[in-house]
Amino acid sequence: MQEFLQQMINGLSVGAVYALIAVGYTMVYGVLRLINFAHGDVFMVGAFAGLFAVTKWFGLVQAPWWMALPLVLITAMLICGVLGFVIERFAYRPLRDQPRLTVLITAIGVSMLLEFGAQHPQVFGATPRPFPELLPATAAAAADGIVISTVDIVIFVLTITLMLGLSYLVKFTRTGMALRAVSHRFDTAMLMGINTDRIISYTFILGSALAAVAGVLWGIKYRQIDPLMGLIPGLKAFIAAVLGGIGNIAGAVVGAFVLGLTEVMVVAYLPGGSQYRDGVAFVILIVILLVKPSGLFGKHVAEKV
Amino acid sequence: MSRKKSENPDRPPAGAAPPSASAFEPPHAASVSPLWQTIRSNWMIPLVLLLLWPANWLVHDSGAIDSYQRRIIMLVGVSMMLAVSLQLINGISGQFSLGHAGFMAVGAYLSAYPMRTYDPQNPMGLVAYFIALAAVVGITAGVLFAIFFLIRRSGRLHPVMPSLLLLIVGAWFLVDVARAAKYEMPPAHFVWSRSFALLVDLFDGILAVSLPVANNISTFMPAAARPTLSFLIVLIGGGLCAAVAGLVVGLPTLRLRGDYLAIATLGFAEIIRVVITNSAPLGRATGMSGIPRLANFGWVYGGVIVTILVVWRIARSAKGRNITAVREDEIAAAAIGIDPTRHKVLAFVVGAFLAGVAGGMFAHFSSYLNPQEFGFLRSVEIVVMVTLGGLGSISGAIITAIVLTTLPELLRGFAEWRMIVYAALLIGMMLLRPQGLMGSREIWDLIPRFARRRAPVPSPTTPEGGSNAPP
Repeated sequence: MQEFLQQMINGLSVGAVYALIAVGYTMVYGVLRLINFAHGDVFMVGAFAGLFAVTKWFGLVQAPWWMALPLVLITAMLICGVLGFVIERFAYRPLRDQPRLTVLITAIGVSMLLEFGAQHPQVFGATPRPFPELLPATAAAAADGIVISTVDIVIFVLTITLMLGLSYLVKFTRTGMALRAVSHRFDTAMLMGINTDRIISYTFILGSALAAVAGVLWGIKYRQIDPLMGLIPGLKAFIAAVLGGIGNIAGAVVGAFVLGLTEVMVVAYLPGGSQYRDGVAFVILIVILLVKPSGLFGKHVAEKV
Repeated sequence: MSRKKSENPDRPPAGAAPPSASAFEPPHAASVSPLWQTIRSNWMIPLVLLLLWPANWLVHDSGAIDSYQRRIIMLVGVSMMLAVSLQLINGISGQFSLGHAGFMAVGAYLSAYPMRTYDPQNPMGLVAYFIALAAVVGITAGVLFAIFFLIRRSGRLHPVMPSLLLLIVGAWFLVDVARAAKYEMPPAHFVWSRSFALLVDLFDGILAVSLPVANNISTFMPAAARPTLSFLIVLIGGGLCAAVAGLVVGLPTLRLRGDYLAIATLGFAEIIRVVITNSAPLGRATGMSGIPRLANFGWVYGGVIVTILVVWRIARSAKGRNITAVREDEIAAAAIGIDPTRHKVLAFVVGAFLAGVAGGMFAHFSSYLNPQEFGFLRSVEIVVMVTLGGLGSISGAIITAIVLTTLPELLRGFAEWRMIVYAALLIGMMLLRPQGLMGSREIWDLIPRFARRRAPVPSPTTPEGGSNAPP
């Protein structure tokens, strides 16, 4: 039982990181009906921005964590927000009235550009880099053989806070209302005088900033980052978004936690499970598409002519 | 006579002067037998295939080409097969598969494994192997699909039922497999684990029974022909395995909007790679070596020609027109009675089969397989070939396959920049010329004399084409 609880805690912490990425996918899909393939790589850039913020720009390795962490997070969020804006403005916006396949290929191109550009020796280099120990490695709480590390607590609390902030933003502000309107019916929102371009930029900035947080947290948790780290977590976060019903923000969060828990449980309890860690998510994707393509919380929407 | 008239007012009355056949059919049609027509339009194929003999001699035995060049020529051939088969999926049916390397891996490993493990002198034994495989996979897939179907249907009772059942069955499966791990043969109440163990037994059982019988049949064949026949069987078997994999991935995803396929295929290719990396009989991460080198120039380029022919003929057949219609507008296609899912799955499965065959070729000329070779990069490379060449243009895909396979060999110092340039080309192409180098035209359309008289069908990435207008 103790081991099970311990695994639950691990699963929640993994799921929280997926949730931060998944929200970006689901919001962009909501407004543009586009799978933003580059999102996982924005997450990677966020991790590297965090790394450079700690080691090069601010020299925060020695600073106390309550000072370093917010500064690092805000820097990473700003950089990724700008990156998200630039990607949308220069790669996706010119293709707004093109077929979706064109935009999808462009998204894959942007993702490749970020991945392979980052691997170039003059940028980040292909070898993994250690991420500095931002948070104290001690256990924050331990009882009965269950250990909760500070990292896990910070990840979980930060994710929940950001999600609450996001839902406030989406539900109670004018921009959030506009975002929901664009997501509901693009053309009609435009007719209602909503500046859709601005809302789309806003969505990308918001999603990318959340991905940046996820990137920094990933670095803190796993202590190692590399230019291809965005690929698999990005795909899994997308699967989490599909699992929860794509376009549905709360669904994406729940889907991410379900996915994180399943993954951790498979690794912990299945024979040879750790080798199939990355396979679990895709099996879930195939099964959910077979059984309930609209996701656990999605409504079935018939395509209209 | 009047009765007939009333039955069929459009037809001229039977007793009246019968109009000559030419009113309805072209005059020569009656005099040309279908056999002759087939011969007349296909006479070049056997000729080209015959040309492979001297070409094969030139590449292998004449000494004009060294082994390094030979390897590149073979790689170009495999790239061409992959690009053309992906063209069927991405260009002609307008879907977007990002996991072509996965199908290639399935074909490569599942054709190389039996060839290496069983006796190449026993072609019928290889048939038995694939039959055993088909039995096991078929039973598994059948049972799983039945379960999923029931879960899906439970939505009619209450909308929450599928989600709930899915979670319950999933948890049951995990608990079952986890708790049965400590048994050699799980007791009967571990339904899932016991079934898997039984399936493995079934596979071994079928082989144990059929291998000796197959060996007896094989002895009737001339000894010299046996390895060749084995290779052919293994190629087709590997291709069929890839096609089944395509069916498993395609059936659930192709019913949905196009972009799910990209993720699902990408995920599938990743699963395949993970499974291979962790599977002892397939050599794990160190790879599988010692595969007999059976594929020579003739085989590989024979495969290229067959691939091109299959894709070309499908694209220009009635089915192919239906596939293109689905690509252009699914709803309109469905409205005139074309089943969108059926046609998308058809193109996808044929494409996967051809990729599997290409994988088999690759395995049998390089003689060594490594899961690393079938990663995301490989899939992306094929996608880049198809997209840059022009979605829908078979000759465009061939040209880019040749260029993109030989170019890195010529520019060795370029390695760091290669993928960056690919990515930039992909984005630039989509922004400036979304239809790719050739659009959906073929190379001979550029020569006025040979140009098709009709306007070419739009490529799925041109603004007037493509089924998915932005929301």
